[in-house]
Amino acid sequence: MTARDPSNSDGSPHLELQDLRKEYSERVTAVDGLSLSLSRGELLVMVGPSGCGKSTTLRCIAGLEDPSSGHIRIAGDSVVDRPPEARNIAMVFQNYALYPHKTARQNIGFGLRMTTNLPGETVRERVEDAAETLGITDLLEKKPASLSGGQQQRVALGRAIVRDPDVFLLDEPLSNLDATLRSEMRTEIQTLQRELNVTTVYVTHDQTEAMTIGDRIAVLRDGRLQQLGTPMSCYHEPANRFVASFIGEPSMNLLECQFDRPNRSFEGAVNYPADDELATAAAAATSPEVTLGVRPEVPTLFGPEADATGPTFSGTVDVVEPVGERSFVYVTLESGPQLVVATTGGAPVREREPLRVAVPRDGVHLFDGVTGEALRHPARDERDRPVPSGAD
Amino acid sequence: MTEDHDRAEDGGSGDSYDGARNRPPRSDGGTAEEPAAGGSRADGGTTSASGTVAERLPGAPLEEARDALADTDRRLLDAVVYGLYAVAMLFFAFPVLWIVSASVRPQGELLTFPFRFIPQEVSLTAYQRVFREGMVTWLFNSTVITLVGVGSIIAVSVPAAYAFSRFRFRGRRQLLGLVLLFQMISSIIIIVPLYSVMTTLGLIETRVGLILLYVGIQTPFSIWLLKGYFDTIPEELDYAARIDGCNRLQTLRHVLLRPIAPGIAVVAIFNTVFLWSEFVLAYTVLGSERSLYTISIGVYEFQSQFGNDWRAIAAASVVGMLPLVTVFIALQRYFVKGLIKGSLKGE
Repeated sequence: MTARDPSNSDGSPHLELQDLRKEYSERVTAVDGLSLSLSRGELLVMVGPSGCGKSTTLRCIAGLEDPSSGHIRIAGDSVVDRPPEARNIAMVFQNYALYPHKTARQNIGFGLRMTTNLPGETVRERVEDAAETLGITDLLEKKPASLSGGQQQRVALGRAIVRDPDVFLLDEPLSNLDATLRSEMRTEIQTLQRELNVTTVYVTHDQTEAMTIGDRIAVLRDGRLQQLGTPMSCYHEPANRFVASFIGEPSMNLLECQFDRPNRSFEGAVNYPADDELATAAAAATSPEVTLGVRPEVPTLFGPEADATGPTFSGTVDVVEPVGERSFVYVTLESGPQLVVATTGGAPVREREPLRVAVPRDGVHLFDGVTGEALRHPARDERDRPVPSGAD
Repeated sequence: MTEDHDRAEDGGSGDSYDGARNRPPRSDGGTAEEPAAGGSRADGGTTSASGTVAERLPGAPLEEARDALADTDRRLLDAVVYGLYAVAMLFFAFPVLWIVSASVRPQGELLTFPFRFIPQEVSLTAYQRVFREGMVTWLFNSTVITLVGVGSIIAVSVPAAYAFSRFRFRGRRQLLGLVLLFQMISSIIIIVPLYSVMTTLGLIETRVGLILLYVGIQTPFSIWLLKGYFDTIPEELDYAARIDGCNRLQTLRHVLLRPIAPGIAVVAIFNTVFLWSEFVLAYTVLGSERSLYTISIGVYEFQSQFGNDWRAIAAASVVGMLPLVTVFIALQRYFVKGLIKGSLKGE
């Protein structure tokens, strides 16, 4: 997908979080100094493992939780002191949270009835408009229990769009759906979001979902922002070891090594001779401890006798995971660590067979072994470059 | 089965398959259909074919016998179970039926020898006496006290249970424990201090006093029960309501009240039964004010130191029972469903 230009038309951020903190007690800090800004109509995905503070952040934006400190601004106005209904946001929950005793029509119209003084006829029209947009007009008189998961999801979306909100907040909206429906709804949400041009924060723990749906993604861990950027920049230029391992499926191979400066080589999980560029990058590390990062598509597999470019390691195939046009080959190197290598689906690789793995130097990421910060990324094609943005 | 036969007839790689077939113990019902396959096998290894035949010939009658035996066993088990049901039913129903029977007997025919369950002659004089003595007043008092009492209990315990389930305030757990503790104190034990407190407050011999007492005594249990129901409702529903512009009270009213309706029904029925038939507190509080007597005190009226009018007691009990039975039958669907749900998912 192409990244939309996050620097919006009027230049000012539409939704802005500034140094947001949420502490539940002295020991539990759910969100730790989070700053983000979204331009109007942008879709930002917050992704991270469970407990990383993404849902808490969303609830803070919604007004369901009070942040301990920090600012939340929507269209330039601080909303921290406003109740949820006065923030003009709409939220879709993982379990949809439809009111079980109300029909789809009542579910969608409830918010309008509670927050506005619109006449019944107008509410009716708006509910029907929303239902038409989502293709659920014939379900309006049904109650949630008699709707399928996908239909419930649509009603929940209807409840969100009927109020014409400034900001959409989606909390893992697809997790309760099966795989086929999930990709269908994913596209639908994307299309809807674009058509309505509503600033959207989308929370998920699924990095594939994050990569495919977001204009930009914010990777969170332990309440801290790890990286904010386009999906491609997070993939190709992960800010640290965590982002590197979290984004990408299968995740990046990480090899713990020490940099041996006199010999200009990495020793440890693998013995890997460095070139000038790697050596310079490794010299900037806080200690000799570094981590080499290799995406599965970087190494190539060779038979025992073929020639290869770049340093080569001997190993044995543990498992081959064919996924169609590609296969993932898990190779245990003689020096100990296991590497995942992506090959073409038809590659003649068999389990328990010895082979060699070539790891070209220009595909190697380097991370500081102590801080985990990235020291060096492989060069990328220009077309993959992230759109320059102040927030990155 | 058919598929397997096809495979066997294809021959060739059937070795391991035959091996499997030769396993002697076959208790599944499919065995009887197999000889055709065994016999029609052209290539068939002799051992396997003879094995199967030898295994099957005596097999069929044996299985029939086994089936017959199992059938008898099942019937016997059914009979025992239904017998036990009948005994239990009789055990619970007898007192009720006996009271109905006693209430319609003519005077002097209460205890006859030999024992007769169904009276020879039906007389309604006991009912006449009961209504002459003030049954209508008692029914009225019981109805008022039960309706207002149960209504008040629900009005107090629903918001309280909501708060305990949803609000995270300091001392929440301790307070919940305290509520449970109050539930454990028998009201009979504190009846003397209660009496003096109520006298001081001027609540003795008033319906309000009795209702307040009932609310106080029954609320803890009701809070716990309802909290269990609230806990089963996902908190996202509250969030959704708040985003839709509800405050806490509106959330409770518009969004949560309906999903916990089965719980409220359970609380209502349970407390109705208790309040309707409660005697000790009612007798203590209402004392000698005859115009305030409830049905349970009314029944007691026919018992005196000079003799008990058992027929009248029975008749009053039957009349007192009827409203409860009606309510229970009307709401039993909720009652059973609610009880099961609460006990499975409650905290």
